[in-house]
Amino acid sequence: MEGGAGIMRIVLWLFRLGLAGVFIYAGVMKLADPAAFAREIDAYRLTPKVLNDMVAVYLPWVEVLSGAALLLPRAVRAAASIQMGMLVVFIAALASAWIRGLDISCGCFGASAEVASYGWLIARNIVLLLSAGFICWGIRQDRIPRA
Amino acid sequence: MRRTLWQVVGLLVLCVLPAVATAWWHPRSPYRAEESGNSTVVLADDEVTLATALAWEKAVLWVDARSQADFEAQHIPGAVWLSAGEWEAGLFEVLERVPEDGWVVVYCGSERCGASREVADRLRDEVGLKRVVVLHGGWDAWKAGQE
Repeated sequence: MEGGAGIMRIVLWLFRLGLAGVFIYAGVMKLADPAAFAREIDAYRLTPKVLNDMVAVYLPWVEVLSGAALLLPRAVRAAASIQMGMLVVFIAALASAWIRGLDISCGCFGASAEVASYGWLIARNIVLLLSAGFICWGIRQDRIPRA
Repeated sequence: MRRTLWQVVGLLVLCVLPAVATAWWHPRSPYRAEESGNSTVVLADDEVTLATALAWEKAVLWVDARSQADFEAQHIPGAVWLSAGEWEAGLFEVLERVPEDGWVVVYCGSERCGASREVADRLRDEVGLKRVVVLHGGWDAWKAGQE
């Protein structure tokens, strides 16, 4: 039992580290050029520009801070929950753009030009979503107050 | 569960302050460059404006990276259609018609599409062409310039 719990904790830590890294990186890259990120959101043609500008300055901070919070012992589930929420939205947006046949650059990592292969982007987000879900579940299973 | 909920709310609220600060002070805030004119065009390293490309006159080979349907409907006069899906076919023509000491300018639909960069990168990396650039604004920019 003891050994199993130990391994689980290590695995959880690795997942937390990895997911935190991805989100912090994504947030920082977007913060490099919020105006460009706003334009990328515009390209999805899902929401009005007024909203996109707000999201462009707000979302990156949620990414960075939730990423950091993922590494704090007591804020893990909150952070992972927020990230799951974001990922669901990202997947939905990508799927919507894909269905409509939009040719856009993803905007996933700010203004760094990424090849927009929808299948790959959605798959990647699903993996992240499952990782965040696993962390949520694993932390709860762990039952140790300080992770 | 309740604690997690409060933490989620807290984190989301916490992000508002840096978001406002970003909107206000970031040199590339979406709230800064409000005018739609040419004054604040931010070009990537491999992009050129329509004006620049037109100034090269005959020393340009236009490459259309959009869908075949789009190309056949309308394209920049003299452009070669080259897409990732039909690479070999288009590439032959590109190589035949590349002007000596000239430029290859790749375009896709708009400012935000990724296909032109994909094609441009392949031309540089796989084929070894040096003077390959992407048209900022894509087909939209061309049409606007025609009016």
